[in-house]
Amino acid sequence: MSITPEGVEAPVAPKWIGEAHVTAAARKLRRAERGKRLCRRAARRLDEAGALAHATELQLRSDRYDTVAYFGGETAPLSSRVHARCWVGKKP
Amino acid sequence: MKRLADWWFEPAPARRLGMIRLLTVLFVGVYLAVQGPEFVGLGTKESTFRPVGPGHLLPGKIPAALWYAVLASLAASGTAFAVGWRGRVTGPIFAALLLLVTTYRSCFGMIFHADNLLMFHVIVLACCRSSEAYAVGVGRGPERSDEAYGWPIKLLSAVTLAAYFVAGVAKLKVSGLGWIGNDTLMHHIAFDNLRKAELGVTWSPFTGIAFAAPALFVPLAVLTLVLEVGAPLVLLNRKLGQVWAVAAWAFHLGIALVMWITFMYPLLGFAYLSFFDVEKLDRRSG
Repeated sequence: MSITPEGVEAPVAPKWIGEAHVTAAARKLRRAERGKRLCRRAARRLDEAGALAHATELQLRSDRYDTVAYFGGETAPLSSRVHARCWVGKKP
Repeated sequence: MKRLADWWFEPAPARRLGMIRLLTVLFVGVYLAVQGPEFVGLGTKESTFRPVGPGHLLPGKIPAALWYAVLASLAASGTAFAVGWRGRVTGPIFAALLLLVTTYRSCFGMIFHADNLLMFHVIVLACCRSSEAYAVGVGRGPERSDEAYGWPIKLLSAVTLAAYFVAGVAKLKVSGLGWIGNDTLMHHIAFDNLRKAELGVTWSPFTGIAFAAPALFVPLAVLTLVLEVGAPLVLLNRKLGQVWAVAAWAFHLGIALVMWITFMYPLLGFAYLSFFDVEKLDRRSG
């Protein structure tokens, strides 16, 4: 998840962690739950590409949802746990 | 026993088998070309190598230069096999290289199950007389039918039906009859779409609409199981096989709409060629 200084969150696409497919990305994230290194690598790629220009922070995070209710509009996670965080570019 | 043999070795036109070969290999070409950057990128992929299936025969990651040579050889042998040039040699080479390339892609954490059916079809086509029509040197090939062209077509259909049967059995093994009775299918669709949404990739815009009518998921789950577990039975009757093929195609269309999962081989109809008189696509065949 990328986060701006204002706290706006946006998902980080699989390609930024070196995967083309969402299933492969999900598996990689699960295997790297305390993945500071994976977080930094994705942040470096985003920074070099100038993508998600307003993001200053990345978080590797587990979010729990009510899957069916999600599509009824309840998109907020039931719980959240941050495994790793890192900065995109220089630490503000 | 004789009746079984007569049924299995029922003659079929050379042109039908030749057309299936031509179209299947053309599909492989487009399929690989569309995903070209991903396949080329495997030469320098950083992820951990986790061998699956025939990948266990590999000593480890393939050096980049060798990988690019494999891809070039695959393209060359595929082109040769598509046009039926020395099919008995180029076919098996193409099948072996395709097995290597598709397996290797699955050795980095994600298994591409959708490649399996295509791979089995290519192996069957490579190991039979599929290059005796629509091929260099013979043109459209002979009009005659022969058992040598019939059994491979039946085998292609049997492999297709077996793949669906295995998928159905897997559902029953994991969820039992709960697959039908509870919300398993609905939750499965929701989970898949939610993961896409939260990982920032395209997900189905129809999910919310489908969830507005949850009662629909029970008959859909029943139909899915009937289609999959009952698949082997339709091999006995060609017309029934054609009805099944259309239903299976509609099933994949439904998956594409509500899950945004596009298994191109069945979705574009190539997986079901053996069920139809595809030689009639060549109108000159009359």
